[in-house]
Amino acid sequence: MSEISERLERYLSGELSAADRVAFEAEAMKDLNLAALIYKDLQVRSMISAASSERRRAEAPAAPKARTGIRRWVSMPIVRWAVPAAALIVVAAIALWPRVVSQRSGVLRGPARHFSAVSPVGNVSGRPQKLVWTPHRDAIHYRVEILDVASRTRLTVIVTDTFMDLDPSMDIPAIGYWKVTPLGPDLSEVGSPILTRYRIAP
Amino acid sequence: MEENQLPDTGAWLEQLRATFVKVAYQRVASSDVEDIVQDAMRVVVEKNIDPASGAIEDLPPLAWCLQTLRNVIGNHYQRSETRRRYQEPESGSEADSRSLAEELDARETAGAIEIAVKEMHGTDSDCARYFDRLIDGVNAGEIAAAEGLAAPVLYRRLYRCRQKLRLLLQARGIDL
Repeated sequence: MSEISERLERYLSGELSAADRVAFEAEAMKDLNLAALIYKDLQVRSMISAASSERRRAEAPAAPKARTGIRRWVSMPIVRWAVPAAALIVVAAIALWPRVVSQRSGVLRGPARHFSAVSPVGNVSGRPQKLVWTPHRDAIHYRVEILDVASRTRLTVIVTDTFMDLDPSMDIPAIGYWKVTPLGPDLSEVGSPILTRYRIAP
Repeated sequence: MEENQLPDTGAWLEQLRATFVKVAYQRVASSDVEDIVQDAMRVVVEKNIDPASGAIEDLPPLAWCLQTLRNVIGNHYQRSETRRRYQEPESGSEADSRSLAEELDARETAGAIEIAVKEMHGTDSDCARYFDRLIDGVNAGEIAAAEGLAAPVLYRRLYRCRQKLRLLLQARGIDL
């Protein structure tokens, strides 16, 4: 394996001679395991490359546009990167935005696994007061996210047991998406999320 | 044919197609294999890739072709997921929502790599250091020189490190 790994690394780094490269590729086309190794290695390399681009972008000088309040907070790289650690971000989000969600007793559970957005959907006449969806059969909690089209940022990530009341002090983008993911008791996803676009009419 | 002789393009494309089919069968539903392979082969043919091609976008020809297959598989799933998951109230907005969601997903994937590499600092500091440098844009040859290692030694280590990183990412639910 070590010889293969070295050849693979040299192959993908473009360091094999033309003849060795042709021989390696001929071998890979005959040997599914070797072709699969190349394929898998490309996956991880591609992700490292994406992380590299993201790190460069994060370290680039800040855009001149001033960010304030929630937008400034969510634009911090650590916040963006912490999103995959959903449990962590949920705890942080709840701690930081206690007013955003007014919790009510009871659990929203529907009759089916298919669930859908109710409101706001599409063009709406005024600032939405609440995000409403048809409940999911297996959900105990829901993760709710609001995405801002203009700044291309995720403004809010929160876990709730109920529909989400939008606090009047919360900065809601005029055009955005909201995304709801059904979660089980351990906050693992129990169904596919729904993503819904809305636009507040001027 | 000697292994270091170039096969003719037609035979090479046939072999490539067979390789695509085998790799695709490991990753997608069998009913989708033909369509996906066809799409990937079309890209390869349109790009005039053949065994004599030099590096394409910094990748050798077969690796570039497999990368293309990977992209086609990714697009295929993304299209299916988009149709299944996203509710779009207005025509024409699907592309917007997909693009925003994809951008955010890409950031989160990059974030997952960063978190996994940070985690590696506690368990395998050499791998974490190599990855940190790769993410900083340093190439493998430069890392070998900085580490005082012969390139083949670093290559073997990098390969093992990527296997470890794959496992860490899979444990975080990243589909690989």
